[in-house]
Amino acid sequence: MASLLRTSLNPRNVLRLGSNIEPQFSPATTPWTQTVRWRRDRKPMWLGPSKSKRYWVPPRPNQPLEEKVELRRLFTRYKTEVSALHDLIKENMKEVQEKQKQALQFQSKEEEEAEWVECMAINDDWNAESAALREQRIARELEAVEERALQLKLARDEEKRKLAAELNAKVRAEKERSKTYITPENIDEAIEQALNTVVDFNYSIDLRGNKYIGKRTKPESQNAKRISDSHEPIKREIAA
Amino acid sequence: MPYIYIGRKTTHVGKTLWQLLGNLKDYGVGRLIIRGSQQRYEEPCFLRIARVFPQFHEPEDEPRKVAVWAENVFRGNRYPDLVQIMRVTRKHDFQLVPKEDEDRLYELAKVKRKKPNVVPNKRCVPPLLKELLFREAVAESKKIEEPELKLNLRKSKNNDAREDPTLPATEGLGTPPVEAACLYSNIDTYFQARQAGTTHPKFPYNRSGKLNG
Repeated sequence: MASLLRTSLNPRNVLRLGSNIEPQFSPATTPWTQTVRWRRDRKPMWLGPSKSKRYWVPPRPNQPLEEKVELRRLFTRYKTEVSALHDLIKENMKEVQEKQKQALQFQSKEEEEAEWVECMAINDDWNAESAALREQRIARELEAVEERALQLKLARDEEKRKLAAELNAKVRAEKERSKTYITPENIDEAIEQALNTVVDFNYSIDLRGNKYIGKRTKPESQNAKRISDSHEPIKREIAA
Repeated sequence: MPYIYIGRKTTHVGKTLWQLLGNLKDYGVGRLIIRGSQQRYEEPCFLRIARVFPQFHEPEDEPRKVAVWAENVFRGNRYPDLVQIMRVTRKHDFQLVPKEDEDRLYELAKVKRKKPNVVPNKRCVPPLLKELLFREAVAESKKIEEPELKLNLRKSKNNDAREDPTLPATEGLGTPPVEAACLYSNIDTYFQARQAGTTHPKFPYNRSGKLNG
């Protein structure tokens, strides 16, 4: 019995068995299956029997008494034997498992403790080694961080200095411009000057591109001035 | 117009329990009730009503139920305690025993009583497993014993079976009961005829499974 169980529980046998079966749907990998009557491709149960079968009464099975008695006896006998066999196999399985457990316990307590101490020493060595490595790494990282912080500080100082120079230049230019400002002291002069100097921004252009400054200036006047003298000529074809 | 019965036949015969008890004085306490589905047994089965508790009729389109405590006599054996029946009272399966028949039923219960089923507690091990166990014992140099299958006796309220360790362990299909002995009556002659090369008149087939003649 034990040898039979060992053969059936050998992982090599199970693997060989499993290689022939579809892994996803094999009964070996399915946790459990349940048969239900309602899940099938047919009309729903509540519609009842079809019209053709409405008055059909299924016949009762007519089984002779001796046959009934004998089949019942054989079936109960079979079920009893199978459940008894099941129990026997279960007991043997327990024995096999006990043996396996005992086979795994091959050390004495002192040996186990000594091995534990040895393992702990090795573990401490490993811990010390990794601690030294860790400290080195942390120092290296700290150095890099400091270097980066210094660079950042220098860059920021440089930026500040540039900004201050720009602002200084702006202030200086404004101070220079402030000499021509109109103040309460010289406002009368400024008004007088503005009234005295009349500026006419109007001008007209003839077909040849001559510019005549002034609203009422004639082409013959001396104020006529060619645009080409000061600006680029107008690129335009003149109608014939 | 004649009735047309549809569907399978039922073993239930009679009325619901409330249809009987609700019309009786004191709800029929002390009267005997039999169930139609239990009449297949040779031994008498009946209930003696001890206490009755009427229930609400809800839902109204279903048969009305009633809670009843009763002395139970099943297959001639009287149960020591009262039994309560409530759910099954909705079934149309109860019949009232006339008062003049009650004494006859009690007398019958004394005479006809189901005997407890005495069973062995062991069985012979199947031959292949037996050989396996034997070889294993030899390989492990154990003491070789005659193996036996221990049988489990199910214990429940209605199971009166008891095991007898003095009964011997049997092998194979066992011996048929007296009622079914006729099924095996011709079997020896059949095998003798087959061995002799002839056919038995009841089994007119030859060895290759073809009909003779």
